[in-house]
Amino acid sequence: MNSNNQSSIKTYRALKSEVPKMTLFVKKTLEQSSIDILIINDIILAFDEAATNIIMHAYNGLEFIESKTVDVHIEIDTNKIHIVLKDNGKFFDGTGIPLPDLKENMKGNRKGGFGIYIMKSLMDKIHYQRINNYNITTLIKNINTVDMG
Amino acid sequence: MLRVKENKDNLIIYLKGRLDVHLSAEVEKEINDIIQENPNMNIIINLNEIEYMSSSGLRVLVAVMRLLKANERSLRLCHLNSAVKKIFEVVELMDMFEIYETEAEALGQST
Repeated sequence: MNSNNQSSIKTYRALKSEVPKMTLFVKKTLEQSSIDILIINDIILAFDEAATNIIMHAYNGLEFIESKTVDVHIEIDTNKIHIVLKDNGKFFDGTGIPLPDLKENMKGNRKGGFGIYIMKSLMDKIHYQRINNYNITTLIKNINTVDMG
Repeated sequence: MLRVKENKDNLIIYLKGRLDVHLSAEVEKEINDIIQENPNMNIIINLNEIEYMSSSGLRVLVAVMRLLKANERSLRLCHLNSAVKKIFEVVELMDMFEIYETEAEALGQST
């Protein structure tokens, strides 16, 4: 890491009602780093999908776990933004779902498949790891920060 | 979260605020109730006051469209701001919905 790196981390309870708070944290952190608003909006949409997946799928059926949390770690360097979501839910790789044919989905009964489409379309890279019973989802966006000079 | 206005054989539903995973189930239920209570009306959803929409919101609109189509009724959307338009474009669903710039244009297409 060089001296231009910025890093912020917050932990949230894994509840649907926490998603707006998480997205606000991401938005404010990126705004403070003068990231272009269009890039911020793309990241927020992709981040929302990743956070929603954790709450709806990784923690689904795990009501007995008391401390259901999502750690949100944002790292900004001169040419990349990393957003890492870490949860202790069951194995769930939201990045590994194959891209659906959305128009075919629309003809059938499925309402979704949008999440993976949004993440893959709006981010430059997404990846998943399972480490020590934690799901770790990373969203990466390439950037050129606005020249404040 | 929503209010409704009647215009001939159309019901205009005005959505407001955030349409994300937190509120989408509640909004979907409210819209479904309105559709069931007004069996002969077509629906226009005005999205002018939507600040933010995630794919959870998109799923609500897909579900509403399916419900109306199954009953041979129409759904039209109007006043999509740039953030809402963006999500439709990303998932390439602009042409799956009847989308109008203004409410007047959506009403003008009434059958």
